[in-house]
Amino acid sequence: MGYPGGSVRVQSPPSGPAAARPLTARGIVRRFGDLAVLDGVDLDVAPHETVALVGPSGCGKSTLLEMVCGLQAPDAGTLDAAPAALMPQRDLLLPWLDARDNVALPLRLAGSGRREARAAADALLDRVELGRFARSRPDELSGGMRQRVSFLRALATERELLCLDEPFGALDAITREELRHWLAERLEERPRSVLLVTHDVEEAALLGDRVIVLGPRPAGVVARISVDAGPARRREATDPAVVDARRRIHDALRTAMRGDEVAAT
Amino acid sequence: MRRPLHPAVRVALGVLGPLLLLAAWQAYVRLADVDPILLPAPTDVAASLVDDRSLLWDAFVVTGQEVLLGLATALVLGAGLAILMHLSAIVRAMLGPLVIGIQAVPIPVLAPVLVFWLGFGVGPKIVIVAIICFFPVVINTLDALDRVDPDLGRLLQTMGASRRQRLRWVELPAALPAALSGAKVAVAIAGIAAVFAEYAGAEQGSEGLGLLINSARFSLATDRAFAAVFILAVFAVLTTGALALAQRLLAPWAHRRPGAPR
Ligand SMILES: Nc1ncnc2c1ncn2[C@@H]1O[C@H](COP(=O)(O)OP(=O)(O)OP(=O)(O)O)[C@@H](O)[C@H]1O
Ligand SMILES: [Mg+2]
Repeated sequence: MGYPGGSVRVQSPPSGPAAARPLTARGIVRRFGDLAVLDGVDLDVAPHETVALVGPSGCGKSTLLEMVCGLQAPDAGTLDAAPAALMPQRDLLLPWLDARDNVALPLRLAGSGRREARAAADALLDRVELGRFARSRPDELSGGMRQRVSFLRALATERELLCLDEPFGALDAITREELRHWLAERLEERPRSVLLVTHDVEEAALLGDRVIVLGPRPAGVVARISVDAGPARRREATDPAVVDARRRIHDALRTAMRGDEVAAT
Repeated sequence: MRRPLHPAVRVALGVLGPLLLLAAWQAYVRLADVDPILLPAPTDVAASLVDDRSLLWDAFVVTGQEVLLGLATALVLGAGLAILMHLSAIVRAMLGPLVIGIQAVPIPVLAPVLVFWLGFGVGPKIVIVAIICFFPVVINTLDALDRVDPDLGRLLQTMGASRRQRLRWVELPAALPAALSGAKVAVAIAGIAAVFAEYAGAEQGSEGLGLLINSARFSLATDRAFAAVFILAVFAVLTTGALALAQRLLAPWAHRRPGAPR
């Protein structure tokens, strides 16, 4: 099976000129048999920018992330991406490894020795005060803790582009908020380019520098919204710029869904 | 949720159960005046355990060796084959029916051929025990491998993992506790397999509990035959315990500690 028309270029690290864009996607099309999922999506992520990707369930957000991470190729369009680390929708920690070894895993896979990889993982865990959980296995950790470990594992890859697939999707509202702050702190400490999938409009407005709204399947971009509310770390849900961004995301989603209904009748 | 028992209480109950059975058996044999050649009383069996101890011990050393080596062979080869079958649809399609079919071959048919090839030593017995124990190990391991979340492998791929690395970090850890579980299931049949394997004949001085049972029955010393069976039963319990312990030490993640912090 081929991918007619689709082309993927993974930038080799160090990624070309210093100002190279971590992600440039043009006209991305993806079908599964008769099911047209993505239909001509254009998407950029600038260095150290957080782009939130919002869209109705099943519109192809995870599929897009998988393409960025090289797990599948587009059927048409071009994708030029820096090496990317994926934080999957479910934490997918290895149940047989403790938190430290899970965080150390990308380093082990890249050829580091056990001791060296563990020291690096310990350093990551200690810096965010999770050192005391280093030796706990995933089944001994709470859901919020597992997501943090999963995020640190993605960080440990040292890749420039982070693809976060609904990192807080499975958590309760309070833990969700806590983790959102935690994530903003991490990204302030060590800025990365982030592609963040979420279907929480508030989360998109609080974390994204820009928000890309996808429509229902076959999905294209229905709105691009920039959030001029300062650094994510200092945003509040009540900031006028955040409130305004939320409203615009909402409107875009609602318009897209309504268009879908009209098309269906 | 059931509350877990204190380990000491569990051991005590594990001893109490068989003791109750022995007491009922003793009462039955005495009250119904059963012929000891048909069914000896537990006290007679106990007396034989003491009187024939050196005979029983020598035979046990042989059979124990057959069981443990056979089980170990089945564990290593069974887990290995399960992984091969997991990795290759062709191997799986070719060997799947064979693995099941070989299970159906009765030991008395298999044993003479193996003795012909491998001689009268412990060799053919180990092979028979291994063949019998192979099946639960393969099936259990294969089942566990099939249940491994395919997304784990895909995630590792995004981290640049090779097929071999995915095997090392995902499939092998998933297979290990399952293979040991399979071996636990196989322990009881391993003893029976060894006994039947010995019926096909053995060298002088390397007669195990199977042959001892046979000759004891032939000379109407049923108490000695039962003493041998008792040893096999205790050995099965201990081997299962050892495997459970190995599982806990080698694959602690497969054993969810009750009351562990969530
Ligand atoms: N490998 C595949 N084969 C066939 N269909 C697929 C495959 N992967 C995804 N799909 C379909 O493509 C569509 C988009 O899936 P995807 O997981 O990308 O959606 P999503 O936007 O991430 O949804 P959610 O918000 O529920 O996570 C869905 O209808 C899904 O069933
Ligand atoms: Mg998804």
